[in-house]
Amino acid sequence: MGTPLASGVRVCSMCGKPLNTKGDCLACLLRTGLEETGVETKPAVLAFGDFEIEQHADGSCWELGRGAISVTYLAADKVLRRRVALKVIEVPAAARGSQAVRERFLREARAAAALRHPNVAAVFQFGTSPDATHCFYAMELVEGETLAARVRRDGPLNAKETLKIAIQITRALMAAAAHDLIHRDLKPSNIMLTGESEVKVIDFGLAKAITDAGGEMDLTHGEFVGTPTFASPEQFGGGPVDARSDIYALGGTLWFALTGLAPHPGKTLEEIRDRKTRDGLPVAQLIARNVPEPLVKLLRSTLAIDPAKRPASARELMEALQSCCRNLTRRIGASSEETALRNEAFARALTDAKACASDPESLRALFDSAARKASAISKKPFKQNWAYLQTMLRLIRAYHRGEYHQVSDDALLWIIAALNYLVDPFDLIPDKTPFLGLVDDAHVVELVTDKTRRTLDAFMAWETATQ
Amino acid sequence: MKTVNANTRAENRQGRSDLFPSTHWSVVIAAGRSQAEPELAGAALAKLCQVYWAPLYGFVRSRGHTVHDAQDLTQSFFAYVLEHKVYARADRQKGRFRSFLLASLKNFLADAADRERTLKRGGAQILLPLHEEQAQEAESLFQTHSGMSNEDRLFDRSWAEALVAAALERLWADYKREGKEQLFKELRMFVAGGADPPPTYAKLADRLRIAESTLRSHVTRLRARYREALRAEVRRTVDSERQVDQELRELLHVLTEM
Repeated sequence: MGTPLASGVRVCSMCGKPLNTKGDCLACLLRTGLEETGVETKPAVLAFGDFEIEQHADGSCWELGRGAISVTYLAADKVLRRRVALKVIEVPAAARGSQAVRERFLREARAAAALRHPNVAAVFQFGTSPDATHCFYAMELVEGETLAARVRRDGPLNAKETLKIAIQITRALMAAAAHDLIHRDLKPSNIMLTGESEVKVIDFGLAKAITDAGGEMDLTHGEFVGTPTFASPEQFGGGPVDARSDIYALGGTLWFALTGLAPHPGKTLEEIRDRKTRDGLPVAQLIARNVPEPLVKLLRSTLAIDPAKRPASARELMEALQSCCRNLTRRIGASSEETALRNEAFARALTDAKACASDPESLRALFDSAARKASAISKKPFKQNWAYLQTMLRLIRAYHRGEYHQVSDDALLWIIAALNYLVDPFDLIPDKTPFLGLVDDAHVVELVTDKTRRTLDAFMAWETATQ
Repeated sequence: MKTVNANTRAENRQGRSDLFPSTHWSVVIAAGRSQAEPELAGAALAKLCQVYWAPLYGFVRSRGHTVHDAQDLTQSFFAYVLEHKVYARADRQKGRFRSFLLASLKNFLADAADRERTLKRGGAQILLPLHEEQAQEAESLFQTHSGMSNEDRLFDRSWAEALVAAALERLWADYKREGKEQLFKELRMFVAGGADPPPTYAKLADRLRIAESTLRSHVTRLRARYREALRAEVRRTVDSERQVDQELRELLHVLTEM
């Protein structure tokens, strides 16, 4: 029998340490965890099938990425002697031994392995561990970084870059559709960008084929695997998941690329689900980033709650993207024409200003006219107001030289507001008070951003050339 | 170079499984730093915190708070950690989950204003589910060790309790799934010790009506599986394999000092 201490606390018959309230010996239980570790040995190499996981100098496994239930490693293919990305997924306990889950994984794995496309990271080999606790597959090792990492590092992309990426992802989705394969977990961290701006979609279908055994994610039982941020509303258990779910996820991914934000962020699954189904899209984020209207419209359709209102297929999405690209190209072409018109208007305004210099009444009329136009500036794109703004800048300089005294105070305030817009079109300078005391160019130049400085320099050069 | 092949080394089955726990401390920190996937960190941390609720509660109690206040404060503390993403500032290289939680709790308790504010706002926080049974067990654990003068030691002791309990529970679940729950009950003493000395292999084998060699094999396997389950639990709270040994030694040291 156990030996009670004087205080009545029972002790372990093997080590003499006090037992806990459950009658267990904590010391023995901890010591067992340290057994067989007294000898320093070189860390074992972890291997799955033909693949050995690479190690850092300190013996730790070389991870490329980590998810909730999976880890992607840098690994070596011992047979073909090449490096691969090896994704190892822990099969949920409930799904282990399930023939249906195993068959589903194998079916999707075969489809993924058959999918060969320049915009898809190829799947070379797949398998499951004998005890069915893990599935793994070896993918083409893509050198580069994920879209998520790129945006985090460099900030949001512009519309042109985003469309270029979108088209490549859509090509991948079209190729997948030919194999009846859907991705199910498209998101910025599953989009690899190589040095040549080539896009490779990774993790096609496979991860979810294992973890999402029922075909949909069961929110109520906490079985939602991976990030729900980019998942479609129907992936929360609201309906069948098909290619349109990938289109929704692509819409969210492009939104992130353009803004650096997810359209429906949230701290909990419930919050994200509710926002997706209840809240409208925060389109102001796109407008703030000057995303062209056709692209905004396209994103609205891809992120529709009702799958029937999204592009029906990757092919249809591709047509919409190409139309968007054409539209953007036309806008760029049109801007060349705008430049010519702007120069002409600029020259005319300058001539008017010079003509008015000796006529205070005409000058006042010109200022009032400029003020009216300036009041509408916020509703117009910056470039369209270029000529007026530049004229105002010149007139303000003249005003401060004491050449004009007839200008009204209101007009002057409007002009200063317009000038603020000129030097800081993106509202980057939080306090514009200094401009109210604008007296000389040097002061302006100190405050403006580099971009605006270049704009002003260009204006000054142009003005000098035309005089 | 020693190679462990997943296809052939069945004895390391549990070890491989544990290389990918879904609530690994490094996952928490990595996800906590991500702009795009904050919900991953929250969910992972919530799972970790659930396991280690009792040590935190015991520490708060040792500071003189009543049962009810200590429950509220512990819940509020976790809500505070989750809401303010305190884990996002944790240093993965230095920080073990145990020391991170204790330091964070001390700061939380020291800041009376924060505590009050969090308590007042507690109703709107993401609170961990707290079961009556869990609360009672935590209180019982505290009462058992309330005589300890050093509150940090009390915390470490409770932490060790939570750790081995989680490992044993995990192992029990595995045996149950395999239909070997009776075997686990019979052999548990070879791992957990106890007041009574274990029976001889011959006697036990006779009682279980199995060969003695088979029994020895079962015991060896049970100890190996428990060892891996325990190390996996520790691995969830530290950053590297080396720290697993270090953490176990530290906790064992705390016990042997008592």
